[in-house]
Amino acid sequence: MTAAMVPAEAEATGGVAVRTSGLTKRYGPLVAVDDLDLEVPAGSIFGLIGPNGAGKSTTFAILASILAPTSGWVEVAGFDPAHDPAGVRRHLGYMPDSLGVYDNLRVTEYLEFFAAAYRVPRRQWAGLLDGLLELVGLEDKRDAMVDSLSRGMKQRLGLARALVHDPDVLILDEPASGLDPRARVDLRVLLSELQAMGKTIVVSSHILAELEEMCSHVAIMQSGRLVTSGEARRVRQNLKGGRAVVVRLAGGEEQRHTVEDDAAQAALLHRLVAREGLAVVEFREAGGLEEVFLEVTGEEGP
Amino acid sequence: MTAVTAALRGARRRLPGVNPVLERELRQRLRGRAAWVSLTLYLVVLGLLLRLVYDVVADSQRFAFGGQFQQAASAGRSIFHWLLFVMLALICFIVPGLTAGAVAGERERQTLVPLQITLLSARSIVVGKLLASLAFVVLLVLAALPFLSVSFLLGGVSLGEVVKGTSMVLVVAVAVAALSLACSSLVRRTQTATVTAYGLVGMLVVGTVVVYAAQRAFDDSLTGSTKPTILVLNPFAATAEVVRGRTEGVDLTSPFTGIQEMLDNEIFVETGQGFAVPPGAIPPDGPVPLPPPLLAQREALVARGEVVQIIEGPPGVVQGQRFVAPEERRPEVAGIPFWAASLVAFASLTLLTLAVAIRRVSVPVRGRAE
Repeated sequence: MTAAMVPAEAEATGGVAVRTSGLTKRYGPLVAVDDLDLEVPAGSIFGLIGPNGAGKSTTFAILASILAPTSGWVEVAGFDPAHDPAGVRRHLGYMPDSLGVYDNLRVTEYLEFFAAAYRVPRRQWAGLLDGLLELVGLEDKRDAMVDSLSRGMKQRLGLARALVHDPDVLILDEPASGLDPRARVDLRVLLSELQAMGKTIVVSSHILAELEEMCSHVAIMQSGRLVTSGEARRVRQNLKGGRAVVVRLAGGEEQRHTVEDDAAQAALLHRLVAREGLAVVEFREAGGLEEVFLEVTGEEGP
Repeated sequence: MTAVTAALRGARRRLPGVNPVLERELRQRLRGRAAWVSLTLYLVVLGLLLRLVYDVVADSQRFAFGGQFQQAASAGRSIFHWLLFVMLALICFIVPGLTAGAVAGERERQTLVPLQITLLSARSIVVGKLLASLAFVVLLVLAALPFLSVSFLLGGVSLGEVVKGTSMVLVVAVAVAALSLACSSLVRRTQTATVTAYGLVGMLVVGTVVVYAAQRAFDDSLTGSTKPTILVLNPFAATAEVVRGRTEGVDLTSPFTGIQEMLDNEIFVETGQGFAVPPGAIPPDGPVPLPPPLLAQREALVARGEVVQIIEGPPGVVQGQRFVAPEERRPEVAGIPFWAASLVAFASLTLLTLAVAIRRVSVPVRGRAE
């Protein structure tokens, strides 16, 4: 990524698009977010992962200037949502986990409404809408009523809505939930395109598989606290201290081995098949984020 | 045709000030079925009413005294009052239903959050929604104008009265819309908001009368009159006062007569001074045996033109009553005419409820999550 593609605000804060420090949100005795320190590098696709109730949506609501934090400090695109919500709103596109749409309204009218609400000048609307609808693949649904769209289409329309004012930072709460595999692939492609346009994207999910392939950075949350965060690859390695390999033998027996690198993994396979003469029917790396996630959050399998 | 469309489009493009919420709501509303169904029903009811009142009045006046013009004028007046009365009733019935979903509905559809994080202020959102409801109310009132003009044609009603009457109906409509909007913002579900809004409007229409009746029942007739203060918030009392005719008299064909009489009853009564003497002290004839200090007081009051009465009871000074002619005094609340007090009351209600709605739509929220 070139410097020109990094949003100016992000540059001003040292290449960090979103930053929280000691962020805490209490609802009475319940602590929804507990002393959270996050740093989202500008231009990254950042996955916030955690089981339901981990505090992801609350964190997003605070970032999006919907909720005020109980304590702590937040900065989105260089603005504090609690004290300068308008500043944040100009630079942030937020898609909540719900797909609320209006009735009796066409797709173009829906987007025009939000363009007006974001004070996009009327003369730019036509070009803006064409671009957005093409980006999210809804060109042929221009005149459809928004409440008649399928779930995946509503999701894409929601994304187009969040992009109406060309924000630097996009926050998407559970964007992949309820999507079929095809739509999920489309979403991944779309997010890469947006990343290539220089946007910082923060996505959340409680299902790791959804985020594993698309995120450059991840943070894992549980019970309002940050468990770990960093580059996706590193998080995986740091947590495992080597990679796990699962071997399944004919007859169903499973073995688990730990190896350091590719060479060791190849040597392991050679040893099992050639020297020990085992009937190996499956040999796979088990160090996926899913397993890391289950390990750190102490959950049962999905 | 295309030129017109193009011109309209051009005009629309040059209108940067239109509230986006208003524009969107109008578009949705006029596309939905509720709008034209309620407008049609409203006009059908008003049309039938006009016909009915006209027939009744014409029939009752067949043998009445007076020339044709006077009869027509009387019919015009009746029709005007009845139309106003039913417009008011229909608006109290339609507006909460159309408005109570404004914010709660967005919460239910989960469209409120995306709206709250745009650059629109909470005030623009609430005002946009209020205007959308009012645009429809204005449509209802304007749609009724041809009917009202019939009464104007028949005579008996001045243009000023038509303007005053419809203006008061609009003021009430704004207040009812704002009140419903506040309910909508306070309650999570549209259904609850609608019920609450109807409940509160019911309190304005019926509750105020019940409270007033209770006040009158409890008031000792000797300790003074019951001020109609609570009735300033009654939409019908407010409208009855602005269309009160110059020439007083019982007009049995106006639906406002009852309310006007209720307000009248109280303005007949004014507090005066009285003196109580021990039971049996009032002789069948001859002067009342008042003790000298009270006697002096009484003479001073009589000299000032006050009506003084003497009753039996624990000795001392008591409050009495005197009757005032209607032309002498119009109903007043806190020193201003009743209709003006009503205007102030409805304006305050509107501002207060709008403030509540704006507060409830503002983000970031410092309490519980949505």
